[in-house]
Amino acid sequence: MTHLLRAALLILCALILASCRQSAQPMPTPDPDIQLEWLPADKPFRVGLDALIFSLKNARSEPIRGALIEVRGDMNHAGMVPVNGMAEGGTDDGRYVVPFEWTMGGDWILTVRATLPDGRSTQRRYEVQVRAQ
Amino acid sequence: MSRHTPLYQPPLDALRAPLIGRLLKRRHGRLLLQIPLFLAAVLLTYDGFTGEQIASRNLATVGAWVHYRGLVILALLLAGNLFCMGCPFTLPRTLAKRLAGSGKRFPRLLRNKWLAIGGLFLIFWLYEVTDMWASPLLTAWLIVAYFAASFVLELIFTESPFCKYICPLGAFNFAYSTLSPLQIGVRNAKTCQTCVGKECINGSYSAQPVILPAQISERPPIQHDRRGVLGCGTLLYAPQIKSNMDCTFCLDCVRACPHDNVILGVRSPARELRQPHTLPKRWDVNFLLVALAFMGIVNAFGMVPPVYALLRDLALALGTNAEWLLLLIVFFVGSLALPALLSIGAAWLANLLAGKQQRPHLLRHTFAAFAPAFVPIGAGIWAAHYGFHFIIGALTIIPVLHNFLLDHGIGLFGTQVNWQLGGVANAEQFAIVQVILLIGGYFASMMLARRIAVREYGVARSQLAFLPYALLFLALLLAAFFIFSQPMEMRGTAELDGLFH
Ligand code: SF4
Ligand code: SF4
Ligand SMILES: [Cu+2]
Repeated sequence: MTHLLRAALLILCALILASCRQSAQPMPTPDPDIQLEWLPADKPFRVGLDALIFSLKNARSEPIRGALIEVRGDMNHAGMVPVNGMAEGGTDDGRYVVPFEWTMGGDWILTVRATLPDGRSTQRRYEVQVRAQ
Repeated sequence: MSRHTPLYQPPLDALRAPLIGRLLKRRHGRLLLQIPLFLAAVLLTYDGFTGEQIASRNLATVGAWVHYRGLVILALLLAGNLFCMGCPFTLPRTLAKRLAGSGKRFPRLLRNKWLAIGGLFLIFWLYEVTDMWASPLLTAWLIVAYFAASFVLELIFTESPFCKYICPLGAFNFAYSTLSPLQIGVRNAKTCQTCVGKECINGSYSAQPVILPAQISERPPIQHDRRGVLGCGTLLYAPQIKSNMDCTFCLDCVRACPHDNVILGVRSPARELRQPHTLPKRWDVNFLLVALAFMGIVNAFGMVPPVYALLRDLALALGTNAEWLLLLIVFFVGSLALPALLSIGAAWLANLLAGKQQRPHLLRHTFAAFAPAFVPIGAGIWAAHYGFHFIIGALTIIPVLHNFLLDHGIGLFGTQVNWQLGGVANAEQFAIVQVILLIGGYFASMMLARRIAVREYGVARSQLAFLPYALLFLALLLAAFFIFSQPMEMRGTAELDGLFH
């Protein structure tokens, strides 16, 4: 019994120590040659179907075509199912339209990943608020 | 009704259930629940500190805000105070008790529920101000704070004041276990009358195993070895228990009674609330029951769009956009001031309308008499809210756990995480259950209040005494309906930040 309690206490101490060096999940260092941008919508986000537009350019601001854009939306509240969307190819001016459904009002964290035809990739994160009505 | 009315005749003892009953009654039977819950708490804390800081992908936030909250209220309604029974926070405390030896007694001034009510208020407010549901890190800190608080208090004081006087979770569980279908009781009241040791409350610290004369020839049903056993930590006396308030379901009394006379009896969920004065006629205990119903409303209100409109208006009126202050005002008014004002007002009105001049009712007595009537409607509100999160998110723990294992190099269940696992029903389907919970709670509260009015004022005057409470419950029901018919938004009040820009 005492062993058990000692163990419990030890685990707790270890946890408190662990808290002192929280490993913030590192985002991959963005490739300076890939510029991923989310073009802002002109109206507030609302629950329902939406189309998210991204632009992809290189360092010289030339559009990148043929890439894959993957979007993952997580709600900032436990117990919510993430929503995924993607677009491939893009238009001549390097735009990608991702069909996406906001399934509930609230705070969303959007993780956007662009993978180029040559395999290089970059990732960005956005926080948005979606209205229920 | 006499003090010795048995729970049921013959009493139905949940501890007579095959296997599980025997296991729970063993010396360390409580560990059966405590160890899994302790490991869960450690896992949650660990992931909260080290895992990805996205609430819907972290065990800390999913475990605490979806599963713990949902299951607690479910267990209270279907069985009893199972969370306190398996409470992991008491594990390190037992060690603290050994380290501390004999300490001071908890200050008399604080031996009531005011600290716990303050603690509940503080937690609900902090939860909103810090957007705790969105932060695995803060959730982990909350768990650590719980362990630390119960440990330190045990070091300082002799009795275990944490459960009885401080723990906000415990206060919630105590309050709603008053309508649980299980309760500690005794098999045979006569046995207690002749019982010498009253071990159920005193505990036993015998130098040698306790064997009663009547059992010399047979194997005693309960055997105490030389380590002795604990009596009730919250100082409840088994044969006199009429209420689940303050009972942590630890079963120490069951283990302590040398006559095997203590049972975990099955009762009607309405039994305790319908009986007169099962709780002391004190302001603190009874206000806990009242305030929790209002806190249920305020807590749910924090998740629907109108709260932003209210905060915005308040911000403009006060010329401040300090979110903590605005929320403090809303929470203070909604979960402390309003319940105090309305419930004391209702008691005053009931006395005014129905009281007799020759024998006036004390305000405190009326207040205490009607307080149990706030339990069913409160339980309905909490269940409608926490049940909602649980039902629409119960299965998300599977991908989150799977992902956690993969992150730590355990590929036992394959490398494909199925993130699309969600709830067991969707929000629209659960809406029907919410309506049933709210209306059911409301009607139960109305019937209770009606019954209490008849008991306190007699049939002829009962209508008048009942009236203020009927109106109050109707207002609570309408407020709940208003909130639950709004679309829930899973977000913080960050919107306020841009208010004046
Ligand atoms: S419950 Fe057991 S220990 Fe307590 S008074 Fe009755 S017989 Fe004695
Ligand atoms: S010892 Fe006290 S708190 Fe524990 S189960 Fe018995 S009555 Fe309840
Ligand atoms: Cu909620």
